[in-house]
Amino acid sequence: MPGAGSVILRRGLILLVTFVIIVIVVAAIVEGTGYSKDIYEAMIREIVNGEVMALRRGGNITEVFIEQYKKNRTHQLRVEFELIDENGNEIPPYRRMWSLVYRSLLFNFTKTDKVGVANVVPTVAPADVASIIAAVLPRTILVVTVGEVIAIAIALLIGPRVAYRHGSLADRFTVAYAAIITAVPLWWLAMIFIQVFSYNLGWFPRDLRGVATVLNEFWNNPLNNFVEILRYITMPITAFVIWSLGSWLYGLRAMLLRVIREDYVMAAKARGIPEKLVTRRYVLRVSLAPVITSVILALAGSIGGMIITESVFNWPGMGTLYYAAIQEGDSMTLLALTIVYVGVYLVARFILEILYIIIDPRVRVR
Amino acid sequence: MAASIRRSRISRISESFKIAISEIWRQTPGKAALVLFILLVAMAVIAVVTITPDFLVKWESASYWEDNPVVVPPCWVNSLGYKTAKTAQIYFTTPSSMEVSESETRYIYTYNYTLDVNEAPKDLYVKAEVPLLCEEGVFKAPTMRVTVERPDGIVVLAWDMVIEPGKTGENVTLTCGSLLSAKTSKETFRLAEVTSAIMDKYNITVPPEIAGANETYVITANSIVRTTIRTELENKYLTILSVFVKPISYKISLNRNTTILEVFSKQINNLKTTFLDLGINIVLRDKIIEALDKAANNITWVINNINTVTYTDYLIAMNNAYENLNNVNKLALAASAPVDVRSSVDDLTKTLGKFIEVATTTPSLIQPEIVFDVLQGDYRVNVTITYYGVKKPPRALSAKIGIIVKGGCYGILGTADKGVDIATVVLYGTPIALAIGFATAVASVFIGVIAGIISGYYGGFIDEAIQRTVDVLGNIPLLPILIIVGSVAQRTFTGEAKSLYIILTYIGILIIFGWGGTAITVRAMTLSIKEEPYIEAAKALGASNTRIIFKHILPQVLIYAAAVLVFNVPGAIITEAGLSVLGLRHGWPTWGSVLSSARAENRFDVWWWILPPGLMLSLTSLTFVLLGLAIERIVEPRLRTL
Amino acid sequence: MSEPLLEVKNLKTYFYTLRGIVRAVDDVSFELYRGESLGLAGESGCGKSTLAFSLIRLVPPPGKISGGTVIFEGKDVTKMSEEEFRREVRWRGISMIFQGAMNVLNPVYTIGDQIAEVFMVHKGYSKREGLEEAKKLLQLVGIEPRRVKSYPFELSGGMKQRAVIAMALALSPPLVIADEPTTALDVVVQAQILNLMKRLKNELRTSIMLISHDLSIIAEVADKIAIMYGGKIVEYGPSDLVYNNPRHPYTRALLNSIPRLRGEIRDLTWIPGTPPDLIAPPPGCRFHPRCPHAMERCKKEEPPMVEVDKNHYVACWLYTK
Repeated sequence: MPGAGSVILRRGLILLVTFVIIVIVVAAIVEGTGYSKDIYEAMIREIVNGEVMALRRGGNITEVFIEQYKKNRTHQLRVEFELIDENGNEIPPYRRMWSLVYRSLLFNFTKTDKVGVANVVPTVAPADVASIIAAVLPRTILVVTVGEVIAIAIALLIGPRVAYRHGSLADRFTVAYAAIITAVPLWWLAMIFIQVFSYNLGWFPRDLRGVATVLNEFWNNPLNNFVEILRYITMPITAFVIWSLGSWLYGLRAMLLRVIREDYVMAAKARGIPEKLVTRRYVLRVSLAPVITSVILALAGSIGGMIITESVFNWPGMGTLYYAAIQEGDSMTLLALTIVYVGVYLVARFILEILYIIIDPRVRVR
Repeated sequence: MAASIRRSRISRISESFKIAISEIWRQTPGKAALVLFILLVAMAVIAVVTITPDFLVKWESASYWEDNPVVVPPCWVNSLGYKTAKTAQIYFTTPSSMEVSESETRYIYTYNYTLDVNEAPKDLYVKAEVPLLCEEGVFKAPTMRVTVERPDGIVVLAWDMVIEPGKTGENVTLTCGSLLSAKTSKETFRLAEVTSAIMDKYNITVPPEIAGANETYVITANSIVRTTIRTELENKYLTILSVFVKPISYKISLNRNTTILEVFSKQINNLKTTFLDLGINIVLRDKIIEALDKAANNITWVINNINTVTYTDYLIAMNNAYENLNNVNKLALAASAPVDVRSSVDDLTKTLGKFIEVATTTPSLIQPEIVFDVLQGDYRVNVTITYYGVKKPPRALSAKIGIIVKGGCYGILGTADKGVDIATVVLYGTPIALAIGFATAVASVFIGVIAGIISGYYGGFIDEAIQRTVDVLGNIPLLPILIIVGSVAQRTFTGEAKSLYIILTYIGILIIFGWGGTAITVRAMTLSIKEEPYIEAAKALGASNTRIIFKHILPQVLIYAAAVLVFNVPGAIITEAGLSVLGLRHGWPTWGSVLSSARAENRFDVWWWILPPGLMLSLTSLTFVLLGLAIERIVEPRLRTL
Repeated sequence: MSEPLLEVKNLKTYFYTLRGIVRAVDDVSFELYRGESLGLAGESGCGKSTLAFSLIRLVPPPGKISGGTVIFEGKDVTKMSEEEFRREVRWRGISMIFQGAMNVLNPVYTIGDQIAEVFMVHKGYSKREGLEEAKKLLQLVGIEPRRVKSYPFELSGGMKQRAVIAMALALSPPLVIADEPTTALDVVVQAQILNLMKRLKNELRTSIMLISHDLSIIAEVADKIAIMYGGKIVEYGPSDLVYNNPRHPYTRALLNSIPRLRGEIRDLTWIPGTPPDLIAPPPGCRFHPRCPHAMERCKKEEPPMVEVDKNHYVACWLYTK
């Protein structure tokens, strides 16, 4: 595919620059408002207290010594965290933020000591933030990806049928469904699901946190665990599919309706090409590219819709991690989550742009 | 001339506005949208007009809603067959009646309450604010008495308390007429009297064949019954609700289990054996054996008569046994029996003593089983405020008395945790939601239109710059930025306007990320309009750029912008709600805050808590989407078939 | 040469719209023999394209063939099932060259793929075989075979049109309908396309039905010509007869409105008025509101088709008694 390479390279570069800019802006906000200073001070206190405890256990230490140690060590750590320089002068935030930017770009986040946050994995506190996020992220991606695939499959099944019967009851019902379902927030739909299916009918567990252990021990007993996982994952995926289907159906239908009226569709029929082939090669194939761009870019965005929903379901993914971090005031995890989320999003967009270039040849010559 | 042009321009605009509305009305979705829109605006107006200024601050404190029952459904569920007790919150400012006598003046406040369901209310209390009267330099503080006349005739004296200043721990200088406040509580409730009244009325006493003849023991037995009733009322009916219950059945029986008696018996026999083998003074030993025998007989007698023995006789026998064992103790000491033997005797004695104590204070020997149920009927609550020694009592007492009965339902939409009235918050959330939505939409579209026109019309460097900026902004996911900035905002802002600043921050971020889409489309529109021949003609005629923009480009763009604006309104509202649910609360009473407290309390089982706010969100969103679609169809008739 | 390749008898194609019934093709009859080429001329909106689409049964809804028959190679194709028609007639029997302004090529496949597709669907060729044929066809129409790999957006307007022609010729059908094949193309390309069509006619003995509003190009290619007005054929006959001796006032006016390169300089004439509304056409002869010779009878009765010369027919009261 000639020409595709340079387009891909350019897009990739733009996305990389965007990422760096965002990290810088976020770091600036976080440092400028003193938000991160709180993080550092808290961490310093934590470290010093831990060391003091170890000292006390060691044996005969006088209180005076402890006080002195605390003072010196705090000062030392403050220098290390770049809150002050060696002479005790405060380092202004706009200089401090650059090291934060540097560390963030390398995904070097420290530890968290909040139990609620660690419980999402689940693991014990204090735990390494980066590995918590790494453990938790795939669970979100799992639900979103499986959900989108199912939604796309259903939409592809129903879409052409409905578009061909333009104006029929099925068609109007589809439009009504799409309009209504996109007005409803997915996370509220989740609440209703929980009430109906978990509380009233008792089909599914009320708190989906349990799936974490099943996932972690999946390979011990794959068949049983798979069924167990189904019990947990059905609700979030179903809610997501029902919701996502709305925009897929509407977008696909609108695009199909436009394409069906195109001259080349009629010309293909004139050439004696059978209906099924026309639908596949002339209608779907052509519609897919623009529909895929607009709605599949929403796949990266669906992570957003899923975040709040996850926290409602207590599904142990990014959403629940966010909720725990907010509840416990864990600023470091929040910062790390922001960086990771943005990074993942940009990577997803990049992949999808490559996909788009493969699918629609018109884009290659830009 | 200019005035008539201006007038005609205004009339033209209003004309086209009217046409637009009628066009929208013609389509069914448009009709629905307009109706919903008017409803929303009406709700918002009502809310703004009726809101009290401190609601925004106070609504999150539990004390604001303390008179409401907690997490109860709306009262109309009663008509659907789900019966609950009514909630009554009655405030009196004038007494129902007044009685004056030589030494005291009584102000009486009466409220009739009907309980017609088989479920007791959840709470009952009285709040009073009474003035401190004074006469000849002496302060007169009143007492408050609360009685409840029950449908079964019992008049319960629920509370009788003195209303004293300084109860709230303040050091306030008292003046004549200053208000003292009091509130009844579980702790001051006269449960003992209620218990007695119930026992008297329903004749709950230990039957003589169980109790026996001895007056003391009869009294003891009855007091055990009383204690049992008290415990039941405290535990199952939260003390205060005992006002609303009556016993429907009771059974008082004697514990006819002989196991422990047989153990005693055996132990006494063991002692006997031990003593028999002991080498002690024979005389004493014989006396010991005799005492042991007597004790054994006491117990055996009870065992043999276990099916007919009365409480009195049982205890008399056990007491005798105890006395006898005590004797054995003394004798054993006198006989210098070995320490271990003596301690055995001592232990047994103590155990027996314990047994007797338990039998006379707890429902172990006497076993009362009393089943209570709700007493349905008409109740009358009387609150009497009495002042002593006031010679010239005021006719109209400037007191406020509140009688609160917390039932099982409340209001139009029920309550959430802390008794928050969901209907109130839903109503007051409407103008806030609309304000957030419109502010964001108007600002985004405004900036977008300006940027788009400038970009499309002037081109060049600024066009490139705007396009690049929009491109970069479009690549950034909104949610994580909102979360981190929201989190920072929560920590940074303090003080009174904290909530407002947090919301403004959200709106700001949404605007920053929102103007781009509009700008790009407007730019495309501007570009294509720019190529039109009439633009060229206008330029040739000497029209300035500003004139061309305002007269030719802007009107066409504005129609599109109207549709985009309407589409954009719900986005901000739902985003704010979502952030609240995620835990980033800002403190204002929005629909999202109700859902966020549902999530925080994990009460997804409460349908009246999660349905109304969510429905409001969905309906608002739907309204604007339909409205936007309707406007779009007018602009682009081709889309009518879609 | 005994039986006509194509017989159209009283064909009616109406559109059933909310505003009324649009009688786009209203009782049209003609015949075409193998190797013969027919030119169908008329203003925009007179029903020419609808007639063409009726022949391949692709009238878009809300239109449908409402009456008459079309007999192709001896079989009544209006009565065939859709599947049979698709298999037997479409492209094998009748193919179509579409207007250059139409967007008839699939934008996401190469032109080679699209031509090969015809072979794969109708003759069961493999893709490789199909592409081989495609290359040959491209060469035939004057496009470099290596452009088999090009996408439609990479081709110029003239090349696209030639690719479309190549596609139409793929299965060597006996009848090719060309609907405004040179509209929206510049004159140089126009000449190339016309030459190509003449070659087809002469070398391959393909029947061509050439639809156009431009009488000059019809003159180049057609043996027979039919003039359509208001959904009806008003004049029909061998092209030299019609061109040299047009009978119907409309035909005369059309021919007069063509500027000539040679001869004396005259004022251009045009036809006043507007084409008829096909939902509620004028009563009687549809041309009467614009006809300089309109008589009372014309306003009331529709004139029948009468022969005025050898195989030359006209529908006009001037020639009927």
